[in-house]
Amino acid sequence: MKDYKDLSARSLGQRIQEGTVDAVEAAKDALAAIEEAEEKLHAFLHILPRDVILARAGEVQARVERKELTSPLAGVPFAVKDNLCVAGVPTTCGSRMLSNYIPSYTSTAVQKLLDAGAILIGKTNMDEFAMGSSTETSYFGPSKNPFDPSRTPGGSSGGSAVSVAAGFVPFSLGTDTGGSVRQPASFCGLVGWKPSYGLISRNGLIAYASSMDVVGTFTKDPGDALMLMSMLAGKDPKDSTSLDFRFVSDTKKPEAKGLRIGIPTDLLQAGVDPAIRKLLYKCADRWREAGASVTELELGHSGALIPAYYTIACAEASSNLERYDGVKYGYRADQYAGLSDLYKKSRSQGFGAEVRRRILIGTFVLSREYYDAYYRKALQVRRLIAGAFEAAFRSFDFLLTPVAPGTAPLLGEYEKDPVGQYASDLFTVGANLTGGTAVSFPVGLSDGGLPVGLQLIGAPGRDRAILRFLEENLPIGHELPIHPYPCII
Amino acid sequence: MKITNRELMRTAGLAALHLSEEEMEGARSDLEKMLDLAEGMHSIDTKDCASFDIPPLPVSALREDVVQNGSGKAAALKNAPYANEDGFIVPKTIAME
Repeated sequence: MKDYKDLSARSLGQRIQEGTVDAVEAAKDALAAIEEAEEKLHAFLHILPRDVILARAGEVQARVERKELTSPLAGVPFAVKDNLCVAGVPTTCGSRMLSNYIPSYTSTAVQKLLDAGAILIGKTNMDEFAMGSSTETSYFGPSKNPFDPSRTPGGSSGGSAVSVAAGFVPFSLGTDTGGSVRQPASFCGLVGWKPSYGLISRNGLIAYASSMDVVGTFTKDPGDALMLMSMLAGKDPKDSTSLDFRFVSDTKKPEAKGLRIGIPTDLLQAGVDPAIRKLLYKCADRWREAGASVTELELGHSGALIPAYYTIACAEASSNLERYDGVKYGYRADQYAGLSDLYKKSRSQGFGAEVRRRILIGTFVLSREYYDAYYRKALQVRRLIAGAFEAAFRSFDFLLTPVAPGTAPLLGEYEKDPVGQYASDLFTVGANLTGGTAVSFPVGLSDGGLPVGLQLIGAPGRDRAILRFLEENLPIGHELPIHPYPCII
Repeated sequence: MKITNRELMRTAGLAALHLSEEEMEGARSDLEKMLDLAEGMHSIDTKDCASFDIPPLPVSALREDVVQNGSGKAAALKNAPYANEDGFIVPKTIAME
């Protein structure tokens, strides 16, 4: 297929159903694209063996021909972030700690895609335990941005973003705890959907910060994200925090006319690249012309977003990552003096610097002397932040913000001041703290040729409304997908 | 906020992490920077404000405590760094006098 790299999942799925494309041919195209550019980009930590992929594609093709599989995803290749378990396939979380871990079960989200006939190609690179914004904390080395390989693709789901932006697969799964789907989607010219908390089962997702972790998607357009929502969302008996699909069943298609969109100016007071600010207001003008009301608002408590988020995320990480002790699974140090030393040495050698940093911060804010001053305080501030968002959503349907203060940084930039870099998550953490939904969408390229993304944030359950609005009103000056290919070939 | 050596070592101990002499200054600096960042919350009046632990769900996350997974002992032991067919192998923790 000449145009494999450009196809959305829906277009490819439709061709397979119509019989104009064979699922085996699609899988071969995926492998050829990977062969061509993976060495440069390092999207994957593990690619399934070619014979396994082709055999699976052959089985799916036979079922499609027998009319047993009519799903729009039948035969469509996809990739999965390496913190989602797949039975029998290495799942490392980008960490030395889990470098030998092979799960005995498959996460519900991945299983749903496999049941629909999608073809798993491999597991993608990520910041270690999803802690980072560039994939540079991965034990296995960073991924590179397809638009400029000297730059980061963003993170933590950077490998998943690269796999779609480079045309290896039409869609991929990532996870988003503080922006880990939306920021790499923005840096790679993709649509990144962060679902409302609980909408997609987290059974089989290796936990980072459980009150904020969600499984999200990378696609070339909003329509694919909508299709994936219908496949992935729903109550799962194996995840008691998962929600019924009716939670997002907005039946009314949101028209631009009459839609109320707010721009939180207090968020924009933090440093934002002037070019991104300009694109944001250009987007606002475009939607005004289409009939929407786009006005500014003061959200409130914006200065507390980063402190509250990092206090809570680190506390939950410190608790969740206690399970890695060198005994039950994961890395064990070679030499130790007794059980306590085994724990300490295994954890200190198995975790990288950023993970150890966040565990230390989390342990500190949870310690008896500082619990009230930091952790409880952050939970109370989170209540106020949630109140500020609820108040905003009484007056506005969606909030429009940048995704990140700038375009993709050069590799190595984040390492200079890791804690200082936490501030760059300002625009994305609000949706995680409050449990709402948010979608990062491409609006064009910067003067330097790098993708720029903006974000629409909605109240919990407005997932479908945002994606349907964007499906009709993507204010992009380019046709989708934005092509990185000239840069990588 | 300044972190003392004692506080740093105690925190590392609680986190079951080993901190070498060389790593201590970096860890202290990172922790102090994060706590300075967290100061941004302290000017906010949270008197009588309830905690927000988890986004509110329209359904209860609680369920009956019923075993559903069955016996996965062999599969669970497969990923252990050291195990026999009965369980995980850990260093001896009680010494005989």
